[in-house]
Amino acid sequence: MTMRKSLASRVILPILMILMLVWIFFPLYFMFTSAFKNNTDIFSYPPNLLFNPSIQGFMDALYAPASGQTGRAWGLHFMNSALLSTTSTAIALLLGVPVAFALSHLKIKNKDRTAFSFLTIRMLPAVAILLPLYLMLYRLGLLATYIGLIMVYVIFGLPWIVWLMRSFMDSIPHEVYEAAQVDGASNIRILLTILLPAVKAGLLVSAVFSILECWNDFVVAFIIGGPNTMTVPVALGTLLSERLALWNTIFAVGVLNCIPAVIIMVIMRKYWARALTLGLVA
Amino acid sequence: MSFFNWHIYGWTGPVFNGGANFVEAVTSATFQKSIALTLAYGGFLTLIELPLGIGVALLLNREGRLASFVKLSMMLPLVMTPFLIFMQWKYLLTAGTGPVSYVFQTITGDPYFAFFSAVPNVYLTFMAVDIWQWLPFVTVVAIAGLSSMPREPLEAAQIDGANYWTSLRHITLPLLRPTVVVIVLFRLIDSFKTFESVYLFTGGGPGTATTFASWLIFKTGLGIVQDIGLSSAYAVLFLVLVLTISWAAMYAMFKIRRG
Repeated sequence: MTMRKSLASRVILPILMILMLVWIFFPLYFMFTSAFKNNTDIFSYPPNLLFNPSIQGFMDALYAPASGQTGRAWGLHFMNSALLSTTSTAIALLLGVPVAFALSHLKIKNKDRTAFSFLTIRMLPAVAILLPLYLMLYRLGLLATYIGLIMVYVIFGLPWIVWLMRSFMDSIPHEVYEAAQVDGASNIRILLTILLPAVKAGLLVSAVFSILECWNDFVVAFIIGGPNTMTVPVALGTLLSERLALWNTIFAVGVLNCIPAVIIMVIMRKYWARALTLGLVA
Repeated sequence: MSFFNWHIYGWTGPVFNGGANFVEAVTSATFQKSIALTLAYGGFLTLIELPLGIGVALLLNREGRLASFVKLSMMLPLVMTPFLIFMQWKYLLTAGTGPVSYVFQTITGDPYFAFFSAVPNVYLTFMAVDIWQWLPFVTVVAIAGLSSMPREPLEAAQIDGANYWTSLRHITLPLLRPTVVVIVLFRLIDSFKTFESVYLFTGGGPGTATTFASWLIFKTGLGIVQDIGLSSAYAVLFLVLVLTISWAAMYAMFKIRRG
């Protein structure tokens, strides 16, 4: 291994890596620090790198809106984001886990095509299918309601559940399933008492990614949601139409919005690539 | 829906008009342009991000505290709400607030350096933001592909005296092929979904320079005009295109994986 000791690997590689870090962190640095600027510092130009940290942005966001800003119920928006993403994921798990089980271990016809159709949902550009959904929900009176949004989010959550769970269940040898069947266990019993306990990690990963998909969504909530169901990203969007864009408030909300996702990221870093590709790259 | 003349605000309810919407859609210069733009944008981005991301993956695919910290940091753009990412860039690039725009203004001497409102610049802006957001995806997936690779061929090559670049070219990259197909599939498909950045940055402009297909469908159906029939025809055609591309890519992918 001459490479490892050469000049290139001792000097150039670390420099390249640090450049990568700078590229990733410089926008995040400005977002994070802007969240802690007060309403004067946020408008100083050129932007000052040194300032007295203030929590005015957070206070404005959570309690009283500053002048020139319409108050926004950020508590409600965070509740909406949390409620919609967890409920729709719970339903998607209920529907998707049995499907994943069937696609992985049962003998059924057209397995590949069924699996394919779930993968196709991941490929659809949301805007193109939201228009018919918009009119359907309108007819059903479900536009801008939680139920309507949850129905749509379940659809978009399913590919994560089905494909990830399937990839995790595939890693359990088929003999385990057969042995249990020989012992007379029903499929539901095998799924609940043998397979699911064996793929707990997979269950968690697919649930988390389905939640993140919904938590981070803008398009669906923007098009078929309403004022009462407004999630955090959509509410952030409405701030920009204000006369004054108070970036400290925006980024304060943004930082709060990112905290759960970042915690998840650190805990689940091992599964990241597998999850992002729906189990296609292990 | 795509077969009806249908405007939401009641001037015309759903009236069957044969294939007129499709004729209008196919012959519409706006639609043709936005489809071409969407395809070109996605293809170009994938062409840039794929080699760059694999390069970064090769750089980071090693032990050491710095490398693992960079690997972990690269996941940040992937967990962040995309809408927030675009807001962050809008802040950075807006004249009068953003540090990046300040730097550019100082360099070029132009107090209103146009990141969004002039034609070649706006594409560069979109692509820079997209690279910030999605290069980590390519890298993270490529690292996973690299580390799940069998070690024996590489070790054998080293014993035979192959240097780093030879074994990269003849062993690592060919073995990475299944991963590359997955990356290309996901990057293409996700670039076709470009919507939030248009909403925040340009609203489709300047002119129609950033009217990507998703934005055109949205604007036609739920914008000011609300021509449901025409918008649905756009959507159907766009879906057919996207599904054809993704099915072809998925087919190729499964063929390669089965060997």
